[in-house]
Amino acid sequence: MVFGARKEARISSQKIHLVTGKGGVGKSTVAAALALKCSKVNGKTLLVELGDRGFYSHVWGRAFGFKEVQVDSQLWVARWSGEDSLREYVGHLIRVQRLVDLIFENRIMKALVRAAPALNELAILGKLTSGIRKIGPAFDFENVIVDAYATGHFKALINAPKGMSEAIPRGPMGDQSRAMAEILRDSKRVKIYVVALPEELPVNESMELADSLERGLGQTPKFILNKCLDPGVSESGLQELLKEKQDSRLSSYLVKGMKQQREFAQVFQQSSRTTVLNHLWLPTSVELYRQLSLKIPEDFCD
Amino acid sequence: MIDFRKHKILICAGSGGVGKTTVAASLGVAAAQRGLKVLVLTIDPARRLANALGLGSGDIFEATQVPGQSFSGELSAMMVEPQAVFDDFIRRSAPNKSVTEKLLSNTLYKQLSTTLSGSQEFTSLELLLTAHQSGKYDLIVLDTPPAQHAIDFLKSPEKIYSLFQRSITQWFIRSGGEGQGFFKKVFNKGTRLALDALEKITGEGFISELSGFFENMAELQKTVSERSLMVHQLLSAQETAFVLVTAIDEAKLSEAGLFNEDLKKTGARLSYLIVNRAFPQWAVPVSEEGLSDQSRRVAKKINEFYEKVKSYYDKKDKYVIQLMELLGADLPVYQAPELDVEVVGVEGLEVLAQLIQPYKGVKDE
Repeated sequence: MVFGARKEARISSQKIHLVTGKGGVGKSTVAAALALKCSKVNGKTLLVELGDRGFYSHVWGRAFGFKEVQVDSQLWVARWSGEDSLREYVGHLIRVQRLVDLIFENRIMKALVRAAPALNELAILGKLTSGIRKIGPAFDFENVIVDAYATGHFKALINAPKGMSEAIPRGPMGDQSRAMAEILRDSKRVKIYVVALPEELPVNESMELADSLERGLGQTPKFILNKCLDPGVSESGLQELLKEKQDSRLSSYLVKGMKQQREFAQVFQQSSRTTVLNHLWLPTSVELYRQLSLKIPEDFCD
Repeated sequence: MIDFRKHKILICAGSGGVGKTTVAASLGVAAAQRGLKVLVLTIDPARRLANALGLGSGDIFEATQVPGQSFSGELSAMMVEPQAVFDDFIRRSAPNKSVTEKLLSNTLYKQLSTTLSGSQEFTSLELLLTAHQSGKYDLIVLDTPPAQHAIDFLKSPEKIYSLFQRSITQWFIRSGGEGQGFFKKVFNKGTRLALDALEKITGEGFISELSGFFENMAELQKTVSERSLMVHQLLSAQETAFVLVTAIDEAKLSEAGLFNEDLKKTGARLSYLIVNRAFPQWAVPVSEEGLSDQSRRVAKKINEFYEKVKSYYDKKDKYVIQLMELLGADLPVYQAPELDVEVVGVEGLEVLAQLIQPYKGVKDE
């Protein structure tokens, strides 16, 4: 009983963190660092990557799949594909394994599931919100951090429940889509982070995404300005040096870079909370995640 | 530099954030500088790059001449707008107006056609084929849509074509497709059970919309399969070259090896590798000579920083070398450095085109 009660408490306070951003900005790294942080300050944590091909398996040196694997004292990693999520969900609803197999082994059904618009997105969100909606197998984590898709696909993911519930308002799928959409709007449950590099294109794309999340979900994402340059000197000191050595391209590159990242951070800060993470010049590794996690504000995991 | 005259089509592939779009545009510039009539087909360029190419938001179906050019050849650019191209494709390929209308007004199509996985790739290839068939260009450079992995570009058309598959659509057509009495006519008991279960889970509305969607898509099947055959031939043609753009990062580089494997399976070939944002050779430590005390301290600091960054890149170099060994000695490999200037206007693209140099120790074409 006691155990059961504790489990219940954990699920009811469960937080979902979605990490997105333009391709190549370091989403996966930031998501892993955030997961590590939350696992230290706030208990059982699941880090999820999406899709058919994993990235984290390179880093931890082991294969990840639908069933989570423990990698640290409070940290588990899983990789969810749309089909796996759908299969689990259908299994939960039908409860007759033979019928589930029939659906997923049937050649035509396979093609249908692959081709039908938005089914994969809905299945993944369905799995993600299953703990909160108290549907399906136990989903016993205090924090769930998702290394979500890049900007464009992320918008499609987030908008899928709303789109589906408008297209098909009646029936179980419409009801569930509405329930998912409601959870996504709840900023106490679901937190969104947009990762950017201090460059014009990712910054603009992040601002546009934030705007569309604000309009579509009423959610204000936090910004993370990743891989900032930190040469260990002040901008004014560099400017002095540049006056004395006008032809140093290294100095002028650094001055320009520091000025630009300061300005981009200001742009972000004007619309939402912004965290600056410096480039640590370490190879992609668990050690990089650990060092980066030290720079992530503790209250992100609240 | 790449011998552009050997090719009719250059396809720039690569995973997200490696700088594909900019590299594709500067390859277009380099080819036009060498006297060719070039079209750059690009998707979702940054505003600055769109400006450099003279692309506004209205230019969807027409190629525009890149402004401010003085090449011996000629450079045009065109933006891929998936939704518009997809709608247009349906209008052109449907056998009659009724199919077009039914499809364009289907709630699922309306809500979700932009998010159909593979629709960007499908429309890019559709435009590539049309531009190639027009015969107006010596060379077309295609910038592939943003994707998590380079391989997605090769796999996506398959996903879209499966939308039009006879097997799916016939299944719906045979079974009535109207939702009402939907299950009664199904032949196979297994399929009936499966559908029954699916309908319980989703609700009847979904199945009938979905069947309407597939049923009308099936009307386009003839055109789609003809076009897909042509696209396939085009991609594996002798004059088509794949250019893989990659960043100097171990995960991206190991993906490059997988991309090559998958490319071979489709009958196409990887012709060039471009390592983008490589270590900036133009950056050198600051000489401390003649500096004031304060600036000397600053110089010392940033020179330390320089060494840290340099050794980070040096370590990554071994991944490039591993990849080159994997891909074979005769593959031309180029690099484009991290820049300290922004690419502004067509002049900016000319500067970048000049900086694309053979990777150290690799011989030029």
